[in-house]
Amino acid sequence: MKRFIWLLALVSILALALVACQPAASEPVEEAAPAEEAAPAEEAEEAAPAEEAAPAEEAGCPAVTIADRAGVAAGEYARLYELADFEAAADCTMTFQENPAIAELNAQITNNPDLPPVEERVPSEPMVVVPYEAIGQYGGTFNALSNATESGTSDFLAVRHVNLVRFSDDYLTFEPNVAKSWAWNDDFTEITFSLRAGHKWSDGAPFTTADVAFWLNDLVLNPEVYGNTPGWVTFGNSLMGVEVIDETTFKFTFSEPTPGILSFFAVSYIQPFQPKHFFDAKIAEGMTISEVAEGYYGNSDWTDTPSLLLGGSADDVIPTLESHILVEETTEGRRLVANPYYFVVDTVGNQLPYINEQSEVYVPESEVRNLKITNGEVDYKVQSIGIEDFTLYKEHEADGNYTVDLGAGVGLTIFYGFNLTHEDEGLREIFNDLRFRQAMSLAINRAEIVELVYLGQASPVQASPADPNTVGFVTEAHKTAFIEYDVAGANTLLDDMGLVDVDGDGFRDRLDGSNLTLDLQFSNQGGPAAMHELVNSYWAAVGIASNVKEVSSDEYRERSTTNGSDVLTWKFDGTSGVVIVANDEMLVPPFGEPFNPGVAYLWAEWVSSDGASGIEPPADALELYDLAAQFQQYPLGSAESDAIGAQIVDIHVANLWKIGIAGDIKTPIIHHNTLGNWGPYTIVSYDYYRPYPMIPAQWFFTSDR
Amino acid sequence: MIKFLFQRTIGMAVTMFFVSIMVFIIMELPPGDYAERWAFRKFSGTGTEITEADIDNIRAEFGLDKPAPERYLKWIGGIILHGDFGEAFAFQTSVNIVIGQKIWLTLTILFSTLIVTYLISIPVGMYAAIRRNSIEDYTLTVFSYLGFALPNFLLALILLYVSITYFDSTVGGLFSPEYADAPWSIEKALDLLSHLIIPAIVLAWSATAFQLQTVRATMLDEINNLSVTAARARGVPEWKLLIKYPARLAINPVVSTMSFDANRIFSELPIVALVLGLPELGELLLKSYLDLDMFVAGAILLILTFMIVFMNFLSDIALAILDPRVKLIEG
Repeated sequence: MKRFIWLLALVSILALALVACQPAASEPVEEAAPAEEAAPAEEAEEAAPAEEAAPAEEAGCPAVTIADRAGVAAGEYARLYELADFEAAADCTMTFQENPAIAELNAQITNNPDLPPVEERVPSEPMVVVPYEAIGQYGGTFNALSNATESGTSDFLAVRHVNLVRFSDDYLTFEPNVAKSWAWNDDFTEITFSLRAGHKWSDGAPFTTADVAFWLNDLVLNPEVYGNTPGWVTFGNSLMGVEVIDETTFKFTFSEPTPGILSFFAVSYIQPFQPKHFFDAKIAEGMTISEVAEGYYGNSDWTDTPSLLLGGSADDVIPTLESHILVEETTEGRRLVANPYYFVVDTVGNQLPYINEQSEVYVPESEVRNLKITNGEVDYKVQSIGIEDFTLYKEHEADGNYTVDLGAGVGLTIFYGFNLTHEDEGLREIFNDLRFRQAMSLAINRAEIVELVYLGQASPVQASPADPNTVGFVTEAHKTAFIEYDVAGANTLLDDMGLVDVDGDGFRDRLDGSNLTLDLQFSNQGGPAAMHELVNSYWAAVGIASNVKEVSSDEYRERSTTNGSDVLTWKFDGTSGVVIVANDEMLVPPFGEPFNPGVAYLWAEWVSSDGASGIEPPADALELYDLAAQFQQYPLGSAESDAIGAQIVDIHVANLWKIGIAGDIKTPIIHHNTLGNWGPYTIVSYDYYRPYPMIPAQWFFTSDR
Repeated sequence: MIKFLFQRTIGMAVTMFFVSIMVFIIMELPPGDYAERWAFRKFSGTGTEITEADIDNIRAEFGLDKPAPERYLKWIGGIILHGDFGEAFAFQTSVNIVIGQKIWLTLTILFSTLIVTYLISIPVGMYAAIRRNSIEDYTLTVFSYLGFALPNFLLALILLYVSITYFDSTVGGLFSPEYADAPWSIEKALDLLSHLIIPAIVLAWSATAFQLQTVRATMLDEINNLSVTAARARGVPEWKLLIKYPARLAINPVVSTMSFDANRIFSELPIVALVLGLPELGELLLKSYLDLDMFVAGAILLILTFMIVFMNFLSDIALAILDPRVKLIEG
């Protein structure tokens, strides 16, 4: 009997312990409260299409779409008008309609006051978008998939992104966006932008040129925020300047011709405006500018760093101009709601975006991501998926109710580079011998890789710092240099170098006879694992041993940017004409940037320290600094630009600092079949900031999924 | 019994002290620290090179430049005095917040796995012992050894595929999207259960295989005991006899190895969770190691080992209750 009393006591203690845990355990219940509030929003959203169609017809402005222009002539741009131009062209007066759920969505944006009518929220000069297929209906949640907080997120970040300008869907024409218009001076040293009168931040505060000047002068050029001045505001020896003319007009000024800056703003995640009023308010509360920047601005312009929402240490959100605003963040994902002050309307006057909410979940495992995609749980995906899984996606197209297309990949050529400034002098000597790099290139069977990894949907090509499909100056000779599969040739080059097998283990040893084994560390974000295994075997076949190891993107990037890698491998992105015309990171040492590390960090250090530290680069590499600066002074495609560009590519290809594998890679583009106004999405590239040229704010759900 | 409890509690505290030192050493082992990662993050996108001085400044800012004993005292002091596990650098918030969201999930998986394991292994193990060397016995043995032989990640992928293809469930997470933000209800609980089934089966299979064989072997030992024969001779009904004598003893080794099971489950959980996309502690542990986010890793290791030590404590007490001999030996 006594034993049973003890047993009873034990059970009671356990029960008590469980009860004690209760407050924490019941957290989900508390969290559920806003969700309950959201429920009516969903009901409203179902009712929306019917409600919203009616005023659209009364409004007077015709439902012009790309598919059916309803007799209204296109203006300066095919896909958009300024309001006054549209009213003139269509001979109508636009009235504005809003998302019926907008008040509920606004209530989820902490500290946002109640909303004024939609006419007062959109600018007096809104941008009028001509939707691709149809006037959309409001509602729904956009389901996005990322690898982690800061990994594989850019295809989703770009959905809500805004910038001064964007590329049209021809990937050539500049279109207005936040800026209504722009004008160059004669020698490309000043560009004047006009903003939209009455444009507001997502909290209703006015957005003006002061926010642009604040971004450049108080954040980017402020050593408390950016410890080192970023390369993308440095041109030649001087910095970009900003001159405010009035509330809606400002100039960026440069000491030398900088025609590429427009491309930079069209494709960069960097937004040259930040909410000055929000920073000022926080500073008035006693925070320093660097604390505000760290907490709300992720330390930099890159926008997927964890926000203060994650820790629950702040419940307010930083205002945005983007189509959706972040309102909730956990270690498993993020949730955003429509920006009630978004500056874009469709042709009948409906304020965009159509989609109420965006929900992003993190899945680090690629097989689980694939399952989510094939199960139809994701509305759109282009990043972190590759041609190698194309058949899988195709097979489940019908079950998953999605469509998979093949787009042209730009900047997808995988490169292999050797750390030219390796701390290990033995390796550095080997890597700096051009014969070694030539041999490593000849040893690779590119035709086999194209078949096995890319299912034949690519062609062998040598690496070039300018993507051959985006510029006119990469020649056939550049593209085919050292790409033939020539094991004998590779062996001869290595023998000539004196790399022989001393210990008889079947692999060549270092020049001093000690073991030579390369660490081939890669992240699956940077290229398919199968290719690295193949390359490892090709190199082994010519006697060069390497260990293939997968690491996280963060780990790869950190190790590589701190000069710790043997072999560098990633997609050779950042190489499109539109990128290199404004950004020389891929053209000059270290031939990389933190997200896509380069191969010669100590060369770059030598140059930036004026020779005080680092390793002196060879003359060829030094010459590139001048060439890159000249290249950026001419508009892309001009005769001067092409001539200088060809010289740059000559130097890169002759030195084989990066060994290319295959180009013209087709890559899957996946979207759910219920996603309307999808658009002619054909080029998949981070270089064009993914779907940003598609104007994704016009996407909507044609039906419930 | 009071004395026994007291001794066990002291023992648990001493064990935890040594565990905390070991955990701290493990936290120190990987080369490099978060300062380098942070430097990369802080300067990423700026197009500038990161210097050693930048990294040293950050290291000082995080307090990572202090000697190890000082950092240990600060760390363990924070945990004991304030329940503060330190800062989760990668998430830019406190470890408590990051872990708080996941610990309940991990414990739910642990206990549901343990329940499934014991519910299956004890009765089935007894059954196999009674039907020793029959076709049922062999079938059960083969089936349970499959649990040992199949790698967990493979099993998880197969079950995930089957559940998606044939049962129309959603991938990853513990709730379907429609329930994720909903208030608690019967439907939500059922939805949770349906998501728990796969991890519980995967993790319980190998644990079951082990315990099933333990129960079977002990039963076989006991079933031929003289006491059983004597009881049978006295005319005690067969089922009553089995429960009263061999079954009671056969449970002892199962109870005494509860913490081993917890240990095994925690070791296998990270891989299974990663494959299934479950947002629990094990998966976070892997991630924090990759990120060198050591306070997160340390807190998780500490919590998991504490759970194992605590389970051990529970099994000691349960065993003392079930089997009076244990107490006698302990004095």
